[in-house]
Amino acid sequence: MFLPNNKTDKTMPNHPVGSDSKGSATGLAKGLANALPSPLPPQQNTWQRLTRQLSVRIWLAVLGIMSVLILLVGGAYHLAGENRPPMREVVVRNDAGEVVGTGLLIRRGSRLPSANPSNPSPSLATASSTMSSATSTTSTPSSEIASPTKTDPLPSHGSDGPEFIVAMNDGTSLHLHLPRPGPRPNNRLNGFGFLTILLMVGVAVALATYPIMRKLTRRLEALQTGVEHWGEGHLSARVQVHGHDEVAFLAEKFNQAAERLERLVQSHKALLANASHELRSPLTRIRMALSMGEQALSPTLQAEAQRSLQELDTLIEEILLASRLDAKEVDLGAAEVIDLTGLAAEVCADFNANLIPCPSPTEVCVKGTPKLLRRAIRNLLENGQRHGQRSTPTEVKGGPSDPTAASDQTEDRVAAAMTVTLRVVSHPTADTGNVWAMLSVSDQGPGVPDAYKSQIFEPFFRLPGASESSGGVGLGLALVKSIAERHGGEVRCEDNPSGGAQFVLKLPLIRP
Amino acid sequence: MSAPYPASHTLLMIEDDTRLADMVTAYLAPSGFEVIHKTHGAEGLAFLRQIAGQITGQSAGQSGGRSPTLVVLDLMLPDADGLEICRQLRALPSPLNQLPVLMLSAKGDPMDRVIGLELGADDYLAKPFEPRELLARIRALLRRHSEGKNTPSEHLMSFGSLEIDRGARQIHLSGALCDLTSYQFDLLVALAERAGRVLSRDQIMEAVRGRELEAFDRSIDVHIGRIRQAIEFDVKNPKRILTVRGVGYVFAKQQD
Repeated sequence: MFLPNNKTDKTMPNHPVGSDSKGSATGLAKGLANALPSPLPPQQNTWQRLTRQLSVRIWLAVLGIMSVLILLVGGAYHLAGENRPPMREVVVRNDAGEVVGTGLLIRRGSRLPSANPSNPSPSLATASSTMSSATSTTSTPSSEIASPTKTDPLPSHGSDGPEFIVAMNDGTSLHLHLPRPGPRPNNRLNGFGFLTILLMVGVAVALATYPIMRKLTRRLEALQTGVEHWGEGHLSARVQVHGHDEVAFLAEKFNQAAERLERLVQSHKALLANASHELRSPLTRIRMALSMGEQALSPTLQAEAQRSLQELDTLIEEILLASRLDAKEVDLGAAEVIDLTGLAAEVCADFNANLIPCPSPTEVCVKGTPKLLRRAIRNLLENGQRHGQRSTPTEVKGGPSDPTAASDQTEDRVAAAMTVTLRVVSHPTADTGNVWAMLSVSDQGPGVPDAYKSQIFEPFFRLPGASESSGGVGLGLALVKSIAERHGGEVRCEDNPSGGAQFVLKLPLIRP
Repeated sequence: MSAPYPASHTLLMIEDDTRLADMVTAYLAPSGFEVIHKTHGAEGLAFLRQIAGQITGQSAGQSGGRSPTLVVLDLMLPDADGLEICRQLRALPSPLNQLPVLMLSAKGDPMDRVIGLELGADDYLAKPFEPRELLARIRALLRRHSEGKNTPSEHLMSFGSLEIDRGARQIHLSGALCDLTSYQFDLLVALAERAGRVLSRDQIMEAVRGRELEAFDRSIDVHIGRIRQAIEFDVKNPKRILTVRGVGYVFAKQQD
């Protein structure tokens, strides 16, 4: 009941959610939002947010323990008071010490008449009555003793207390009432009761312990902030180590791990750069040698050697690029606004593919890294050229969804069988308001069986029966997928309505 | 290949790959280039400092034959970063700090290119390069250097082997001057300044406004055809000025 459900802190997300830290103004909630940056579903209320913070939770645990303690102490006290045997008898002696009368309890001290003698009285009342009874019994019976009758059970004193009927030896019968003294004027707390005092002590302890808890967990929060900073990519960031406790130990271990990882990432980068360097040096020499020995080789051989060199170079570049994309490396080139039509036209020119531009708007702009997007489109076309050949070349459409216009335009370029089509669509489903630029590359090849339509984007995947001689290592489409995802888009493989396969690259459109 | 620069030029090549350097030396020799090869950045700098000493200490004529007119610098050297060498080279006494620097890199990282050019390299070539391109770029650099040492780089646009010099209003393709009318030059510059963007005929006319406008906007197509003849290797299959059917033209951002 006092401990919040534990599931909240099991999965700590890496990235703070901005809305958290802005919304709450109070220091407590603010500290909490800073410390716990997990994305909160809207239905989670302030209480759940509060209880996510470790300091609050420890504090709540202390409060819980204290509450249980208060209840237990109070209960024990109560029980102890109740178990004291109640006063039941009165013995009246004269000065000589002889017993002149005995009496029995008829009322325990309830304010009400003795209709219900077994009515349990509050333990405190019992306690105080026992304290005062000693003096009352020894004193000479006052007029008060005689005055109460059965019809007037409430004496003028008005306070409650046990009442006895004393049968004197001389045959008379007395009502003996031991009124409880009124509240002591110097003890105001008396009215609140013991439990209330305990509760107030509890509140005081709660108020005092919260800052202590905060202080303890602040170091954890500092550690968390450091880890998050590191996780965001600042690999050289380290956390400060104070003291010698578990938190300090954790911080120290984290620093060691961060150090090791940073070195690893650096050596990985160096390895990539070196591999690229070492592989390209011989390539450069081979290319040089080919150019210098031009006369010695037949043009066919020369072309073949050049093509192989080119493929090798592309392969090196693709492997490097793939590992960089995998490593989520940030510096792959600055993002800029790109005219997708222009880019597609450039790539199409290299592949002799037909581009069908989007009729309206004519400017199809996306934000991205030109080098990467160029490679994505190039890879799609390369794939179409390699595997999408029937007997005629491929055709690339880059434009609107008007099929008649498209076919008109492609008529005069029969040679190109690949079509790149550019379209702008707004998706009514998810992400309402998002407008997408769709670039489809259609070929006239055998198409892709449904079973392989998603698998085809896996690295080094090859359709059954596809020959290796067609070139390409199978990284091309995987790269397209990585690049599309990096730009917040996606790529999928569809059936071309007119036969063959159609690869659709979907990128978020921006208004120029 | 005809050598328009029969006079011998001396190049300093700082490159740790000796075998490649030997081949480059052999390749460039028939074109009239003598290559001095140094494998380490420190060696190259020491050589340049020695030249500087000769220039200041003795008459320029004595050192003329061996003084390099261009530096080919590898980005990845065993003893130092090519960028650092480039920076130090720019700190040498004049006129050696004016030497054009062609940087070679095998990293293929776009960042290298930007940094390389910012730190004072005049051109950049990624390995594995086409030897012909190396020769063309060396010639282009030397020509630019000899024509006007102060050619501001913002006046010069280069797309592969195509160079547009807005200052001199000249187009060079692989080092050879192309013949274009003034209007066609403006048209080409308008396209090149917006490389990568598809421009409608209206937009192109707008861009070259101030010039005398021809009566029909189809005349743009005629001019584009002429420009293509001048700068495209294969006019039927243009790679620099591309037609986007139904929209207009786009000047390819990445060429060759």
